Amino acid sequence: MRNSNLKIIIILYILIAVFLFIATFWIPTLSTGKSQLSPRFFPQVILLCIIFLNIIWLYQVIKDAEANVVFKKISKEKKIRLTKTIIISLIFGILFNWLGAIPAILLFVLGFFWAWNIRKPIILILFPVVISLGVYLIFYKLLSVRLPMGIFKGLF
Amino acid sequence: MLENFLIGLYTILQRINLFSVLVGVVSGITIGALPGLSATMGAALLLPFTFVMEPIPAIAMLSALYCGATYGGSISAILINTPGTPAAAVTTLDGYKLAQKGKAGKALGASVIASGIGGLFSVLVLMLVAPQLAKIAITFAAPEYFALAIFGLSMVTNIKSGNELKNIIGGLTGLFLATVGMDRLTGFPRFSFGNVYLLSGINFIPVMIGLFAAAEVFRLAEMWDKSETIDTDFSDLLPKINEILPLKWSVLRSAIIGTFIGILPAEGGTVAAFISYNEAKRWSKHPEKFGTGILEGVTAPETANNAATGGAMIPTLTLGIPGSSTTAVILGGLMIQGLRPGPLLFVQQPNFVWSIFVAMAIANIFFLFAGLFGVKIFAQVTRIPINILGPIIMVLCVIGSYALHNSIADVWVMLIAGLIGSSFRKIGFSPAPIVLGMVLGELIEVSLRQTMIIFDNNLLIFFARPYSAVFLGLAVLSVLWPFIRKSFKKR
Repeated sequence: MRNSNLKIIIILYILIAVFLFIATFWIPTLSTGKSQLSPRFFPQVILLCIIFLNIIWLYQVIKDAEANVVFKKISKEKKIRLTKTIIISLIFGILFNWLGAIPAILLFVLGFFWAWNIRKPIILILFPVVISLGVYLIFYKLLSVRLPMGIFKGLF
Repeated sequence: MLENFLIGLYTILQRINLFSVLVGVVSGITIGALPGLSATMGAALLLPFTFVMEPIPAIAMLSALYCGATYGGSISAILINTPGTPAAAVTTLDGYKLAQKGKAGKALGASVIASGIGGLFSVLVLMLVAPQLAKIAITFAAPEYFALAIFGLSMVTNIKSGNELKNIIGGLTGLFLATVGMDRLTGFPRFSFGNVYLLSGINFIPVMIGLFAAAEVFRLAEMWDKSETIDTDFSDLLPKINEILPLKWSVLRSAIIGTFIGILPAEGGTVAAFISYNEAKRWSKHPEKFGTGILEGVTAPETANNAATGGAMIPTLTLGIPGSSTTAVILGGLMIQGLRPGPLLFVQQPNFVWSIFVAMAIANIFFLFAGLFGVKIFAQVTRIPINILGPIIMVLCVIGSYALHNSIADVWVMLIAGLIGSSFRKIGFSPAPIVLGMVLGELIEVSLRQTMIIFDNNLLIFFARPYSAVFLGLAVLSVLWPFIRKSFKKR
């Protein structure tokens, strides 16, 4: 990561903390006159500490540019794989509830293999089925975890 | 005492009770080893099975599951860098490094031996000095709890050398996340922004699953090379005597810390493991080796988190106050059986109490054997190619988060935590301080505010009470220690 990117992240972190600090003033309080009793007190102290320490960190980054370069350069292929994995995982989150756990797992595993360039037919066919079936038997049948059935609700 | 012990032993050696302990241990190890499935969730999943059982086998099974799952958490921590339970989070630091060096078997062997010793030690303490220890812990009030939790949190500075500032920011971030939701003292909403899910707070288990497990999948997606596999040496599965013997004092210290921390209500194996790891590092002649893959980095937290299981049962049984989230489920199990946990239980049902003590001792012996003879089977997990393991981890993450409250919102919290955790790692943040901050957040805030109410906003009260003064002193020392050490090195 370039040093400037790290500075942006720290500034963003400070801005979020400032926003949340301002938001604490909307937390209702008891009118006891003792500020320590207020539900605002603890988050305000924490957020002030976060802001203060991030400013110190920002100062360190500005002062010592070399010490804070932490990112290794990664290839385009790996960047694409990461993007695909994130998108597939987020779609999995949506499908898990909407389509139902078992079909969502089947599709997710297939999608994951596609993202990671696995093209062996035996793996593409066998693993999604085995993983879905395993989850169904262990969690749904054996452990009685109420997995979401999605659009297939009522069929099982 | 001996008479009670023999009655308890006789009861537990009956077939049905022994079988219940065995089922508890096996389910515990399995659930603990699965990333995302914690001991608490395992106990909650097993709870409905106990409805139809007699009290002794029912509670013996849940207690055995607690012991087994606490050990089981280290298996995935060592093999796939994903703590099966929160208590095993710190085990990843050295356990996974050992696995990467091809010493997964050794790490697993050391883990099971340390866990067994820790567990048996705490059960022994439970039997011998439970009433005395409980008496000390019961004298603790809000100032002591606050100081102790601060001491626990101060450990974050020592998690990753050279990253003290980031560790503290991480710990504070965890503390902040713990404030989201309804205020525990007044019931007023905080940072919920009108969202119903946020009103009940952010549960730390989905966050932990996301930060540790889902983030690992994203990291692998970015970093994994086809040539990169974990080379596990299966020919050398157990640590040698000369490797284990030098760790005896570290193990004993961790067992004492674990038992003591476990006794304190709300302080569980997670805090015990963090403190023990830190203490082992502090007392070590080679603290710089911690985090690079050494056996002591595995044995210290594993001894402590299993020692905390026996300790956590003390306030649960004697006071009716759960020592950890898992013992809270066990407490629920006791109530379902019509038993009232508290001092009277020892008077009215000594047979029951001592049976549970013995059941826990036997559970520790069972998992010691199961772990030693099953190490080879568990180690096979590392042979699964990472591109096959990836979707399995993610599926377990999603199911583990969902099964907690049958809530899809927990799944989204986990996924977001995974993305944030993956980004945080790039800028040098360790996920452990965030998790520790979240675990301790409520205790710190509530005990601080209770102290302020009780002692009329007098902050000096923390230094006027011996226990809280000692804990706060240790906390200051813990935060300053890395800087003191650096200044000594410079000289």
